Amino acid sequence: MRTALPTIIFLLTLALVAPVPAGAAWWGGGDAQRDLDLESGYDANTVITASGLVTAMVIDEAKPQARFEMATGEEVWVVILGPRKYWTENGVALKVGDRVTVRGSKAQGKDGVVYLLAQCLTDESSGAEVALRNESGRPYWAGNGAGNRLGRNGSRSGPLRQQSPGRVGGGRMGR
Amino acid sequence: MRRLLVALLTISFALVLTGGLSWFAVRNYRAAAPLAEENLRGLALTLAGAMESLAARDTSLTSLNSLVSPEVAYSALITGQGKILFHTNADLTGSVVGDARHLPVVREGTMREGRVRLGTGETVYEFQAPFHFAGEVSVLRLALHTWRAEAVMRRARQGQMVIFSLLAVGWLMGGGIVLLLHRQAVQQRLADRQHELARLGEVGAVLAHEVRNPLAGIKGYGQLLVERFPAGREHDFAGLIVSEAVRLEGLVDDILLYTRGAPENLATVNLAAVALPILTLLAPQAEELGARISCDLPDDLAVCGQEEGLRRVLLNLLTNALQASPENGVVTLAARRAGKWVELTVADQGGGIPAEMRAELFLPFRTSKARGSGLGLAICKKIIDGGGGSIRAEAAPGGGALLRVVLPAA
Repeated sequence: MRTALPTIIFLLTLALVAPVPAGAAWWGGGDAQRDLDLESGYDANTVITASGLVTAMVIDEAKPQARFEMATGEEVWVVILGPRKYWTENGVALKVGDRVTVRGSKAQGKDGVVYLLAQCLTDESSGAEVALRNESGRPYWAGNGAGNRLGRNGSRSGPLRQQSPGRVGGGRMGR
Repeated sequence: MRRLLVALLTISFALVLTGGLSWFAVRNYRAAAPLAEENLRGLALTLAGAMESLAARDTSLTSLNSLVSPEVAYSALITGQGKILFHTNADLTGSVVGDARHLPVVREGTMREGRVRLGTGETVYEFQAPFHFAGEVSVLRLALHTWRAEAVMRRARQGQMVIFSLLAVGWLMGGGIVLLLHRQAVQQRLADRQHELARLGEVGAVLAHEVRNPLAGIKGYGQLLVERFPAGREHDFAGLIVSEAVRLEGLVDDILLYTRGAPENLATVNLAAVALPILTLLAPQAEELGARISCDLPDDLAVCGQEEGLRRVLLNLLTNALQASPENGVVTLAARRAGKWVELTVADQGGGIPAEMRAELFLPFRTSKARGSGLGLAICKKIIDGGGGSIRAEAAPGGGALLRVVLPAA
């Protein structure tokens, strides 16, 4: 029985510890926003304009999209700026503490975090302005000659109309 | 029987516990989904009521923007014709809605709810209800984020997962413990066996010193008496003394052999070379018993073992088979190569060994013979086990007993 004791202790420890990582795996903690289409997702219905302070810039290898965290009053939202490479080449130099105004489509991930899929962004601190999508929400990195829309004056093309569901391309409505 | 009953009760208890906990976990999870839906519906109804009140006071609908809730993905007021009177995205106010989901609400005048996937990939709870505004019935569409309301579902799912994980680990642990206990029991049996052998060894040593020497004296004097007495009653009695002393000597030899350690110095032994002298030795006994030994041994078949031990095994198995054989019976000795092993069989045409006796056949001091020591097969098994082989008793195809010995091939 003495030889079996360590094994029994090991099994008991396993019984207590195993559910923890299993739970984490169940919830997919590593990619909780996987339900969202951060690359080309957009919905005109949820478009808002919000202002806040940059609290963290996230441009690293682990995440395919460049993003930053923005404090809007009591909440912290994650603003998605587009593919990391596109943002690195075409974005503006944001730093923590900058006040920004972002217009974009709001969505909540399965991790409970609110994401703002940016259409255009203005760095109030430097005055720099960048457009990342056209008015219908189609991302400029998707091509079709849209090109870079950097500059101080992002053009607007009049009032938006709702798109029909299932339309291929950028901005989409609820399906 | 008692152990079996305890095992059955334990398994039954574990199954009932597993079933009960699984049922509880699944029921809890299933109950959570309607609860989350009710939370969302309640919030939507509250917001709809507040918006209707605001709209009644402010026909420009601008005050609806003051109703801000983090749970609202968007809200819109749509006429029966599809024109958007109000939208949280002000750019969409005045445009025409791109779908027809509001039409059933207009037609039926009842609220509708469901899940809708937005262009962002998010699935939201959509609530649509008739909205009385400016003397007309419009449709209020509310899309709500579900994350907060579904917290109850997440907790239930997590609880379910934890219960299932614990059950799985519990079963694994139970299995592991059973396995460990089984191994422990086997080890205990082996230890007991070793202990028993050690004690037998001590007895053997005592026999060797305290019994064997006087026995030799008894036998010697018996032989002297046999020579001195003329043929007659006294001569026969002296002969009995000698034969019984010889039998006791054999028993002592058997005990000493059984209690000796495992054989060392294993070598390549030709099976036929060992078997043929034994067959010659047993021929008179076979003839006396009216039986015959049939031998089918390839000349080149060799095993890894101890020659003296193998000789003892063959002698014992063949003697037993001859003694069990009926008149004109045939004892068959055969061997064949089977991969890395050599399979040797000794079969007779006697009454066979009852199945219930086979398990105890190789235990020491178990015998069905009136004058047997019960050590013959136990010694055989010990010799064979010591050489890395195995022995088992079976029923011969044509009736009788079959002893199958498997030894490592050389």
